[in-house]
Amino acid sequence: MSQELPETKDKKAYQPTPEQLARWKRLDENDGAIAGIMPPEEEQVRIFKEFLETDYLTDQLEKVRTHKEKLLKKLKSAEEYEEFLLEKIEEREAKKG
Amino acid sequence: MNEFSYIVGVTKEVGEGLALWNEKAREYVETYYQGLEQRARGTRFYRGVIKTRTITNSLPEIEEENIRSVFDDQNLLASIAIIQDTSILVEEELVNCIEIESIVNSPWNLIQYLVPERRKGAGTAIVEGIIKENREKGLSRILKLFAVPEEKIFYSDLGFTETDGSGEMILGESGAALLLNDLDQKRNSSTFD
Repeated sequence: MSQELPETKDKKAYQPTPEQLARWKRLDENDGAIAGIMPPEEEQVRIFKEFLETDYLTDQLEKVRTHKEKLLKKLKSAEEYEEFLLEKIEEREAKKG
Repeated sequence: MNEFSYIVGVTKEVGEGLALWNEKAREYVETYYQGLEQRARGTRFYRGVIKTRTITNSLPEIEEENIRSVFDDQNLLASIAIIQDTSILVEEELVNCIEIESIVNSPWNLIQYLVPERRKGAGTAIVEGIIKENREKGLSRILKLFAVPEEKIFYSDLGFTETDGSGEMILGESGAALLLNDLDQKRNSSTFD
């Protein structure tokens, strides 16, 4: 027959102060982590209604595509500038040579 | 005490997590607020939906390196934050700090009704994660944010102090160290197991 051994070491030995206990309780009960500037009330109503009426995935897809389009335009512009600089460097080297 | 895993950037899981937040939030509006905006208005859950929506509306344009999140033991996204480097005046000297531009918990961690997905402590965990990340990088642990008036008490309990009454709150170096110590003590006590 096995016999239960008494615990020799309490791994969780910290005894909180009453203030800590009260604060931890409040933190657990009020874990309403929301921060950042909120839009005005009218705008909040519009946003909430939009949330109820919009298909999230389709809406996100549209936003990602718009953003991707912007990035592609930037990339194209960077590539054109890169091409221009390479041509100028080549011209300069040719003149030297 | 619930434990959370801390994630930097936007992973596939963060995207999936936000889609689930949207799905569950709509479900809660139907179940608890008869599908009506005005029934939910003024609640913490409502503010959470607004904040989440403002984040997701600009998510594709937010730099990935500015996004932090925590996941709970169910592997569910529990809280998300957008951060950026900034500086503040401390005793007439500009010091680097991290601004938490936005932070919001999952809808099940904000709604007043008890739902099975709820895991307490997500907000505390994401603030703790940001402090520890900066400590490991040897950067400033000073945090700044604008608290929603109704949630000021939460940030005060974490050690943040108000600056000028505008809602701006700061957690200084010593406050950050005290918070980490306090959370270690909480983990080492059996009170919230």
